[in-house]
Formats: sequence, structure tokens, C-alpha cells
Amino acid sequence: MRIVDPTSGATSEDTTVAAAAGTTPAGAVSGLRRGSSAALRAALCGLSNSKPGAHDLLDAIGRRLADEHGLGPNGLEAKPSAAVGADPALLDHLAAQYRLAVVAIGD
Amino acid sequence: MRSILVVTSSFLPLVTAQAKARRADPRLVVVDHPIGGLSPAEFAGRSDAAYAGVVAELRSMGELAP
Amino acid sequence: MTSDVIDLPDVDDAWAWAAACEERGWGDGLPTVPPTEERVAAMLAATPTAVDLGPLPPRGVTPTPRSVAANAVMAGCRPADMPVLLAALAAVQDEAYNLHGTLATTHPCAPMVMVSGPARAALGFNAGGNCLGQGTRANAVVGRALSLVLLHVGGATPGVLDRSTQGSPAKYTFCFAESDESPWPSSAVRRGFGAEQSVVSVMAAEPPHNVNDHGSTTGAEILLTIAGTMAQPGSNNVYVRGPHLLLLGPEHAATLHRDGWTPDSIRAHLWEHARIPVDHVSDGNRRQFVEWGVEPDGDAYTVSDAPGNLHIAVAGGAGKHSAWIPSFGGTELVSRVVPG
Repeated sequence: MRIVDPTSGATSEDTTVAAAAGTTPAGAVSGLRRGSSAALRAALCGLSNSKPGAHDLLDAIGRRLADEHGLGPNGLEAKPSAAVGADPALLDHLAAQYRLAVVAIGD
Repeated sequence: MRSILVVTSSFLPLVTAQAKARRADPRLVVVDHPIGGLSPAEFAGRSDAAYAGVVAELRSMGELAP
Repeated sequence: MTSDVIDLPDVDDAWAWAAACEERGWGDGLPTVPPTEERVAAMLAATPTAVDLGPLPPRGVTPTPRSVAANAVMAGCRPADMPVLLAALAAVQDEAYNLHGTLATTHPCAPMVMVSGPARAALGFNAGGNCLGQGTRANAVVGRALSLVLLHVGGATPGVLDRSTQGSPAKYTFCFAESDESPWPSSAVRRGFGAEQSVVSVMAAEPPHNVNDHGSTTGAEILLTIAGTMAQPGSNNVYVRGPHLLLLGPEHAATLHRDGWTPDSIRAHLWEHARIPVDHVSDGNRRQFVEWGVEPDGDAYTVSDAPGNLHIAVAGGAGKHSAWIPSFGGTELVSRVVPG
């Protein structure tokens, strides 16, 4: 039997762009070289998927990194809603404000 | 911007598949599922595990001293 | 371009085909029709108009006319169903529908498809008795084909990218038509489409919640029962907000119309009266609602954030039943004209 592949389609080159929490590639630079403006940016941002558990987890991690390792200042952000992906503008904003991100997906 | 992704074990397949689709290779810290709806003691265990994983990743990235 | 044809030399009957599908993770668990090149070609021959489709999340692959047709064949579609399927597929790709979120969520939402206008009769969609149930080919196969495209091309594999905690029976197929027996213009016409146009409306929805009211004899009494059914604290609409659909059975609709109610006045009345008492919501959930920016209005919560988020349509047969269909919340009811 010869069939047409029901999973077939065209692959978009645009799919490498991270648009939702959980898909931010590690090491992604977003136009900023590491250290290029590190002195002007805060150290670490927690980005949660807006579920309460994720928010609480990132809050605890941020506080302990500051208390035990002096890593800071740290921020905590969230997608506007767990139901939608992060706005690219939010990701750009975070990339400009912070050097590192810890992204949490929890439920 | 360098990043670390903390994910509960139940969502690891979703994250792995998404990363593959987007040709990304995220630094992952996997903790037991769930995070929500836990007692304070249970949550503390998840938080400790996530914190330890993030610290290990930050060390491997050279952001924290070994 | 890589060939989209797969040769399955050892597959020569229905059982072997079912096994081949299972082995590859294809299908919804029910038997499918093999999408042979001949069947796919026949499906495409009846597709007069191309529809512009983009990449489907979460996999990020753009369906081709042939892959859509292959899924239509697998679902059991007739060639004449293709324009409705393509309109539904285009509708779920509208940004407002939030396809990625609706496919990857733990919520049990399914892509609900409501057909309005001439396509209902032309293709035999059921808007009457058991329209939300089994037994009508058009309803069964168009909803199923949409789900199969999202599964196969989109990659919304249950347990992997589809993270639904429990799922729902609606994920197999969720398609019905608006009734011609409505006392009011159809919801599509009230949304600005022409009565002569065939329209498909989609919403990421929970399965229908039945509203049984055999005792009420006035429209106001029926609305009291509907308001009580809607006022439950466990829906996404309570805090994510977004659209929901009241699907009135024609007998409930007739009573409401007899008593002077219109879709607008029904919507306004339910906005005021479908309220969730604060003491029906746990302290923990109240905190969660606050984090989403949702506070009670006095001593009760509203069921969404605006009266206009309640859509109203009429479908069903004889009997004193209606249905309330909550949504994922982070979605919209999106409509597209059926091409061709």
C-alpha cells in the first residue's frame, strides 16, 4: 500500500525563535554579547509560566542565590497568563535588563 | 541572555519535544512533579532540589565559583 | 522537495493498516481510512480554493494541501467536506485562538467546530437531535479530521506535547451545526456574516455541560437554571476569563423568545445572575484568582470578564435540554467563511 504521509508538511525557518517560556534556548544572546553591558544589567531574572508553583519556586531560588552566593540583584517576572506564550517584547525586555534567566514550568 | 529551565518531570517530554522542534538545547533542571498543591514541607523539598540544580548549572556556566 | 509518499509493502488489509498506524503513533485510536494516493487525489480534486495556512504548533510544520487531504481521508471525510475542514483549520490558526496554548495545556479543551449557513444542509451537518453526539457523518468526520491534522502535522501527541490531565471525549471530534429552528438570526449572522454564507466558528472548548430544565414554564425560570449551571467555580473562564457558549435547545429557545427574550437580553441577564458565591471558592483558589487579577464583584465572582464573552446559538432536537460550553479561557471564538 502506498499512502500520503499524514504528518508531512513544510518546515518553517522561523521556528528557531523562542516565543514561549520554556523554549528559550540556553546560550541565546538576543543581540547582546555576554558582558557587553553586564554592569548596567541586573544579574538574574526568574521567568515563570504564571502557575503559582512556578512563581513560588523561582522566588525561593532567587532569594537563596542572593543570600548564599551574593548573586543579584534578581528579578521575578511572569508571562501575563499561563494560557498564552510569552510576548517576544517581554523576552527582549528581559534580555536587555538581565544577564541570566531561570525559566520555570511548574503545575 | 543565558538561561536555565526548571521543569517538573511530567512536563519534561513537552519541553524536550519543543526544544527539538525549535532546534534549541536548553540547560535543564528537572524536579519532581507537581509543585502546586503541596504542603510547605513537600514544597521545601522541591525548592531545595531546584535550587541545587540551578546552582550546579550556574557553576558549570562559570557564573558561580566551583 | 522530499516525497510525502510512504510505501507500506506489508500492509494489505484493515487490520495491518491499523497496526501500522499504531506503530507510528498515528490516529486517535479508532480505525482510520488509509490515505492512499488515489483517495488523497480525489479529496484534492474537490477542493476549489487554496487556503493560506501557516506553521502548526507545537511542531512548527506547515500543512500542505496533500497532508490535510490525507488526514481528511483518514478521518472518513468526503471530498465535499474539505472546504469546511480548511476553514476550520484556518480559524484555529488565528492568533486569537491561541492554538499552541490550547494544544499543550493540561486543560481538557478540544477544538470545537460550529457550522452555520448553507453548508449545514448541503453537507448534512446535524443541528437537530443528538447533534453533539454520534450518528452523523459530517459532524463526526470534520471534527475528527481537524483533530487529526493537529495531531499529525501539529505534533500534538497525547502525553508528549498534548499535556491534558484527563483529556475529554470531545478530543475525538467536536462538531455540530446551528439549527434553522432558531427564533433569532444565527450566531454567525449576528456576528456580521451574511445568511447566504457558510461559516465555521471554532473555540477551544470543554465538552458541553448539560442544562436540564423540564419544569420551568417561562423564559425567566429557564434562565435561572442556566445561570445556576454556569455559576460553578471550577471552570477556566472564572479566572482566565475568555469566551463561553450557551447552546440553547430549540424548545428552551422558543420559550425564551415567546417571553420576549433576545440573545442580547439573555446575555445581559446571565451576566448579572450567573454569579459564583465567594464562599464556594477556596481560600487558595481566591489567592490564585487574585494573581490573575480577578476579584469578586461584591460577594460573588462573575463567570467571565464581560457579557459579550457569552456567545449564544441554538441547536438540538425535541426536549428540554440546553448546554453550556465553557472554554480554555485563553482563546476566542473565531469564525471563517467556508471557501469555494
